[in-house]
Amino acid sequence: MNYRFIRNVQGKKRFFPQSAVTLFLGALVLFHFVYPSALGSLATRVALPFWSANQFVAEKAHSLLYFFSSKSALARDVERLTAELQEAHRLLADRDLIAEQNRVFSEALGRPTQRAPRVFGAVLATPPRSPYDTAVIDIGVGDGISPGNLVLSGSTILGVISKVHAHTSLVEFFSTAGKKTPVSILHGGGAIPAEAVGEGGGAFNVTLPKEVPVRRGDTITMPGLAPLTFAEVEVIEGSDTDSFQVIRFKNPVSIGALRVLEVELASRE
Amino acid sequence: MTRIFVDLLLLVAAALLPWWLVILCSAAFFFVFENFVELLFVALLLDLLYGAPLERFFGFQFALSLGSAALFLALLFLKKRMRL
Repeated sequence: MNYRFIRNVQGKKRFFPQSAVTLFLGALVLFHFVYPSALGSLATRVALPFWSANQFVAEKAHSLLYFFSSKSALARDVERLTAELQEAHRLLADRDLIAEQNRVFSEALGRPTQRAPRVFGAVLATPPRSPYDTAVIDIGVGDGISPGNLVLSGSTILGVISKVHAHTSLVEFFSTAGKKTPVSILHGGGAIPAEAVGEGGGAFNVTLPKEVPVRRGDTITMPGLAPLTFAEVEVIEGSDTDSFQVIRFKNPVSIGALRVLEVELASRE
Repeated sequence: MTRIFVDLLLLVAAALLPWWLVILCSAAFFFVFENFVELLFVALLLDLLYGAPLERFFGFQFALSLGSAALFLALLFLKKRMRL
């Protein structure tokens, strides 16, 4: 009679998981180097119904919560929003005048005055769902999106399109940890060139020599012929003995609370 | 049957829940089921959905999957030691 050795049975069991990991690593290398976008479209197609359902439920839940909120709370909200609207109207009173001046100066300098066309996309997923400070929006190839298009929220630039699928696109925020972005810090009528390093979650830092004059509240823009708002200087770190100062700032809009993003179709100069 | 249900739950979780929670749940299920390779596939799905070639990882877009492979081996070692 033949008996199976226990050692042999254990050996077979132990072999399986390690070989699965080896196969998995091989597949990763294959996907990265040979077929970088092979499964991406399929994965987003699988996830799209869940994202859409989540969006629908979130909207319904939001309106339902308003239905149950008390009258006094609603009255307080209306009062607060009215005050904010009046303040916004006051601040924007000279906006048209400045825009007209800008247009005249741009024409005089021979620069294009027409804005590149923009497409609106609903945000389907943002961090912390995403591990890489990226977001998924519900517009893709069919809407004219292509990798490298700028992504904005109003006049604030937030990132670029990294991947495009049939019905969705992946936005890579400039605040992705370790990502370096050239910026200009506007101070005293001049523009200080700097390199913003992303820290994740919409936060950045810039390291500059101590002698460079920067103040809290200075506007930070993307350099170029038609600069876009990036952020405002929030914190300046550094003691009297340090040679450098670290400037910290955040995107003016919270990445996690984004509902809609704009994509500029034409690339800027 | 239970395992298929858990796999479907993880698939939905990858689309709707924070990534760290999905990985944490998968790691917990590793101790419940035998050879829970779904941990690797969930990380791959997260990379396919949200991954971009980042400078931080030298342009490699499957960093989480790579990390999950290391986690898988670590959990395998731990599970053997725990005699589960």
